Amino acid sequence: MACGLLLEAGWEGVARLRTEREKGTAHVEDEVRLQVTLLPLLDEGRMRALLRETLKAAGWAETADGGLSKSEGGVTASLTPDGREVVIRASATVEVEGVGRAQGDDEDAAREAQRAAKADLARVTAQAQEGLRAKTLGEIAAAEPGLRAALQTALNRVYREALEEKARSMGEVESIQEKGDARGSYEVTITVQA
Amino acid sequence: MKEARADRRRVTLRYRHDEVTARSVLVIDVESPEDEMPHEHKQDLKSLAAEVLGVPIEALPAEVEVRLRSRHAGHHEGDPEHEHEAEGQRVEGPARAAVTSRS
Repeated sequence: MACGLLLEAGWEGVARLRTEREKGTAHVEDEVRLQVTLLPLLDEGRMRALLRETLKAAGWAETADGGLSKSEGGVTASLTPDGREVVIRASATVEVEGVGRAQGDDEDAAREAQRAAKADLARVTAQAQEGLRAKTLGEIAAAEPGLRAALQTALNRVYREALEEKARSMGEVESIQEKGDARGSYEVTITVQA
Repeated sequence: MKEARADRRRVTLRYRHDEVTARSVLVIDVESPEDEMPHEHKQDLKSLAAEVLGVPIEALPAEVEVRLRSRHAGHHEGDPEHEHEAEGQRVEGPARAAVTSRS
C-alpha cells in the first residue's frame, strides 16, 4: 500500500526592514556670572585697567573680543571686555545617533524610517544633554570656589594699588601697611598727610 | 610715625576684606587740625569722602560700605570718646553671582 504524505508548504513572506540612521551632536554649555563691582577710588576706567593688569599678571590671557580669560579644571573664566563680569563657563559635546526602522523597501518605508530616526535622535540627544549637564555643572561647582578666591585676591591687589595712587594724589604718603591671613582676609592701611 | 602738621589733616585710608563674611569695607579716618570745631566734622567728612572717592557719598553704589571717622590730632587712636562717625552705606561684598544655564 502506497503510502504518501502530501505536504503543503507555503512560505510566509519575510518583510523587508528598512533601517535609517541620523547622526547629530549633543552640546551643553553652562555658566556662572560673577559681577565685579569696584569701589570708585579712582575713575572707573583706571580701576578697570588695574583689574586687567592684575589679572594678566596672574596668568589671564587677552581674548579676541578684548576680554581676558583663563582655563583651569575643565572650565574657562572670562573677564568681559567691559570688565564688569567674570563668566565661569563649562561646556561638553558628544556625538549621538538615532536609529529608525520601517517595514518595506520602497520610498515610503525609507521616509518612515527617516522620521523614526530623527525622533530617536531627538530622544537620544536630550538624554545625552542630561548627562553632559551633570558633568558641566559639576565642573563649575568644583572650580568656582578657587576662581572666586583668585578673583578676590586680584581685587585686593587692585584696591591696594588704587589706594596708593589716591593717597599719593592727596599728599605725602607716610606709611603703607598690609596684612592678611591664611583664610584669604586682607587689609591695607595707608596714611597720608593731606 | 611723623606728627601731623597743624595745618594739615592726617588721613588714613583702610581697605579691608573679610573672607569669612565675604564683605569688603573702606574706612577713612581723618585726623583734623586741633582748632577745627567738632560740629564741622560731619560736613567736612562728607566733602573729604567726595574728594577721596571722586563721587558724593550719596552717589556710591549699593555694594560699597564706607565709614568715615574723625578725631582730633593728639588723641589716641581708637579712643571712641574722641571719634565722630558719619553715616555710611552698607551692603554686600564686591562680587555677587548669578547663575544661568543654556544648551
